Amino acid sequence: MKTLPVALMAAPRTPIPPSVWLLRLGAVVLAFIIFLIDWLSSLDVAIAVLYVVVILMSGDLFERRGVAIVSAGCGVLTLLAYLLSHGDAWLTPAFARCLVSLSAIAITGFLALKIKASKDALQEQVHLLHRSEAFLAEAQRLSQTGSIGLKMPSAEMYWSDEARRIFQFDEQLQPTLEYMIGRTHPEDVDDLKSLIEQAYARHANMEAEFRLLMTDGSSKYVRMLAQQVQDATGCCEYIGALMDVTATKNAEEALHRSQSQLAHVTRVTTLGEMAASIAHEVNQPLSAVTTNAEAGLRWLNREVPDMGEVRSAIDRIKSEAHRASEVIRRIRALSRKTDPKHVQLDLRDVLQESVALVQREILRHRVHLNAQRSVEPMWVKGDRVQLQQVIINLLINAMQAMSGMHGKERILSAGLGNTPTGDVCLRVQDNGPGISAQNLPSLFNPFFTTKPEGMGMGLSICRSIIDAHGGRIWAESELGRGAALNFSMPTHEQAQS
Amino acid sequence: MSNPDLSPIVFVVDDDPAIRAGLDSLLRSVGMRACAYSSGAEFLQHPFDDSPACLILDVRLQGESGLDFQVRLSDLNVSMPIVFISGHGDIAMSVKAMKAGALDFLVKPFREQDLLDAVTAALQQDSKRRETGKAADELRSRYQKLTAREQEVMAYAVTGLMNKQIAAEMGLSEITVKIHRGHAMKKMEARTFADLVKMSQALAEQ
Repeated sequence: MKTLPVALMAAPRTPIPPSVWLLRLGAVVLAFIIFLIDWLSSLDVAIAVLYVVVILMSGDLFERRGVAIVSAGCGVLTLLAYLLSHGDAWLTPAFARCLVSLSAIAITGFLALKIKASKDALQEQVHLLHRSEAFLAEAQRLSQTGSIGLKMPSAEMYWSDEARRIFQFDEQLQPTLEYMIGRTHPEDVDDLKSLIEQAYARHANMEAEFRLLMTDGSSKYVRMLAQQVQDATGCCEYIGALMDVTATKNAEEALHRSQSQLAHVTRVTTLGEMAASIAHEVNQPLSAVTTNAEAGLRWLNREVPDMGEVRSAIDRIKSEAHRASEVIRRIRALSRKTDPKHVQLDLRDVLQESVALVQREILRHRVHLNAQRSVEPMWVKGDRVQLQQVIINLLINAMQAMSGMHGKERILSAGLGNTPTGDVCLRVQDNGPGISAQNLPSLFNPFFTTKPEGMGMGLSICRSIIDAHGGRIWAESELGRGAALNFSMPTHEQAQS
Repeated sequence: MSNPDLSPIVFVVDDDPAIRAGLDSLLRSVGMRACAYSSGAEFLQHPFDDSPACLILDVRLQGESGLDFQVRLSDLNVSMPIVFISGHGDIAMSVKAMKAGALDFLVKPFREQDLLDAVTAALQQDSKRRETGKAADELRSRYQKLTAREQEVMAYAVTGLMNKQIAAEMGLSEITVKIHRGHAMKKMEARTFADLVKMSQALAEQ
């Protein structure tokens, strides 16, 4: 069947190769020779039976119609030879031979046609099979998904071409589980082995994500999904797919990186906006330090030094120095560029620290802050700095919203609670002008801002941070009566400290 | 605090406890009496005596700001010299404070000597103010001892009218005017007529 590749590309009419023409000619010549012998020889045998050979030959050389024509032609030649050599003498042994020949030709023709038909059907199926194989191979190549089979307990494997390409194994290599394990990243080998063992022990399906370490030192992320199939002998085989998810993984990581970078940038921007407050926050303890130091020195330099006064001055210096360093630490934590670390946190503490950071802004904006500390701890799992960033952002937004407001007390409230579904919820509310209904839906879109100097990233970052924490953020507002921004995130209650 | 100790006193109003305590200690270390409060309201709750005093006031206080409190004090007729201290003083803020009569405006962290100098100057100003105030008070109390007639006679006399003219204006006898005038001179403790004219001028200025 070496015509298969041709069949694959099959156009309905392919040019017939010269060898076929030669064979066709041979068949015609053979038929003619048989005809001549049948006509001219005086042998008392049914020479015409030999036409069977011609018919069988034609099976390979012609289409079905051609075979039918050849069969009919052979019959006509047989009759013609009879008529030429025996005239119209009926009921002779020669006529009986002629009939035998004709029936042999007819039967052979019929069989040849049947064979031809089933051969065509088979060929058609082989053609379709190859087509689908080609599609599959192409789909595997495009989707970077290979097929794998794993027979247990023999640990024999099957790898499709794409699977081989993912593993970077050449075609000669006999696939085994050993080779696959050998390609696995050393850190993931144990996990993969135990996964396969467990799946085999429990007759479960396999699903794994692991890394491959290539010979050139690069690594790939692959995802393997395999289903267990039992065969008749009781052996089981895993049949499944192996996906190269390196690109996806890298894209995911790049996305996370850029998200956390963006969060960092906006955090630093926020810090910039709070620069005056921060300077004051650091200046205050410094000023207390110098005043107390001067006082202490003066007590020391008296004719009779007053040690009690000196001691208390130094005590104050110590605690003020500590206070300044604490402010610096908090600001540094906010400006540091670290990957988010999700740990268990009491959201009450996060809220309190955030409020402490914007304390001066609250004074500057002459805002009255209502922050009730709830009795119950509010455990969540998240990144402290990022959550602080969200809360600070909401507080500052609320204060800025009220900054154009005169003749009315500016009230900002921040409180924690639980949603009906049991999530932890934080609400920051102001009594400013509120948000118009047309702005409400686009509030969290990037670059949406109503402030002339605003970047429009604050709330958008807040949303991506809260999304990453498995929570949601939303705004409520009644025009002229203030706005409330809320976020909720799942309660995380375990290993209470 | 109405004790006989009339040595100068420095009041401190700052909401930051460490700075408050530091200033209190610093002032006491140089032998000044000091009293520190966390807010203007707290300051007003305590009575203050007649001793020379000044106020060190933080600009940015929780609640009522230092500048607002300065206005309130002048509304309450408390004319105590004020030295402002501020975490970050901008020009507008200091101009506002100085226009409202502040004596000095120091930006934290300030040199302690600057503060002590400012406080000393403030206390000097206050004692001077108190002295002149005291003299004026005395003059006023003397003036108030005059009868209505005596005051009227005095008012005419200092304009340069003769006794006869005053008598005509008031419809009195010249003798009576003379007696009233003598009483006025005596009660006002004026040795010469020129003294009486000066006193009258000082009273008019008040």
